[in-house]
Amino acid sequence: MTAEFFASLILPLVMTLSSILPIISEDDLFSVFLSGCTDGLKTALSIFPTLLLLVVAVKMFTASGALDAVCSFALPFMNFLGIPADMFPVVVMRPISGSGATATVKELFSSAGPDSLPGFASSVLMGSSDTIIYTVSMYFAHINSKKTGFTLPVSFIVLLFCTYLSCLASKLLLQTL
Amino acid sequence: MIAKIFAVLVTAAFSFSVFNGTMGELSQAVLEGSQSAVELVFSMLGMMCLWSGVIKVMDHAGITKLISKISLPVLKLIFPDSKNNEKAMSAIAANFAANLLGLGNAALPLGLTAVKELSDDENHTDIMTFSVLNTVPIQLFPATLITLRKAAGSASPYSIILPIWAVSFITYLFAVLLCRFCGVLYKRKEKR
Repeated sequence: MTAEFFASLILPLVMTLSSILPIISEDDLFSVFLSGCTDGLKTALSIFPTLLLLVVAVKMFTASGALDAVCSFALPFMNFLGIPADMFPVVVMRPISGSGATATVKELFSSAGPDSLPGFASSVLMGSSDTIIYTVSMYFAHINSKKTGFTLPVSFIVLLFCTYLSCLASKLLLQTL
Repeated sequence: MIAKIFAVLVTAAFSFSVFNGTMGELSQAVLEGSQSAVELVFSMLGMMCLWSGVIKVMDHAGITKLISKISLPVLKLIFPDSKNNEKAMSAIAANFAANLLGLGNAALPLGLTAVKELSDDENHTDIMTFSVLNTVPIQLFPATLITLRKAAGSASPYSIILPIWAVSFITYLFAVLLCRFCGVLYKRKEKR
């Protein structure tokens, strides 16, 4: 598959380019490279405390059974939007945790199959969205700002829109196939 | 806001555990959670450092500036308050490019640089817009998903690419419009 080849080409290409640049440049770009790597360490250190608290909170939330309660609470609403019931765990997990959502997708693939409507719609949803809580928290923690304003509500509305659209697109596609 | 999310998640977990009798699992979750946070950071650390280095080199060589010059007309429409902030614009453009190529580990440090630059200008609505847009990144080749689908025995693992492009693009457009609308409302509220 050519698409796969091009995807695997990206990383080596970027690495080769950034290895040549320090050689042909007049500036000492190699030490710039190294100091950039150190910046990465600092960034990781600056986001770690927030990440730690959130990961613990999300684990607690999942383990206590609160997540299942949210799922069953959202059931009528998702039925109303025409989202297949098998897809609920993926939809609820998607904004909370990336690895958690991947795990629910894996489960769905083995129970309903990757080419079923919920399996297909979940694939589309996973490919066109990202986690909300971690992403937003990392950004605002990094600049030490509490002014999140409309960020969270709008993110959730957009995710809901994306979920609805994923189901719609999958239905249309599976019908024509 | 993060404090509120933390409080809501933890107290909800505690209340549900009392109700469900899952206190043992809950206390286990605290131990496991702190461990997996460390694992998460360590699993990202190598690529994050490498990318921060690569991007600094590209920055010095003027490559990120080139990307931002190409995408500036579009970025100006999405981030009207920061259109003259060159550093922020090139970080946003590079973040978008990294997301497009499916390099999530590179997108994060770039995104963090972008919000830092935006916050120096105190353009709060642009920071909010940028954060929202990063929850619905457009990705050209969803490699992890295709691998997952293949492993699950899908008859057509690649058939999701086109619908993902369509859904991503429409969602992104929707997010941009909604953010512009909310940005105007937010500013009006702040003036009062």
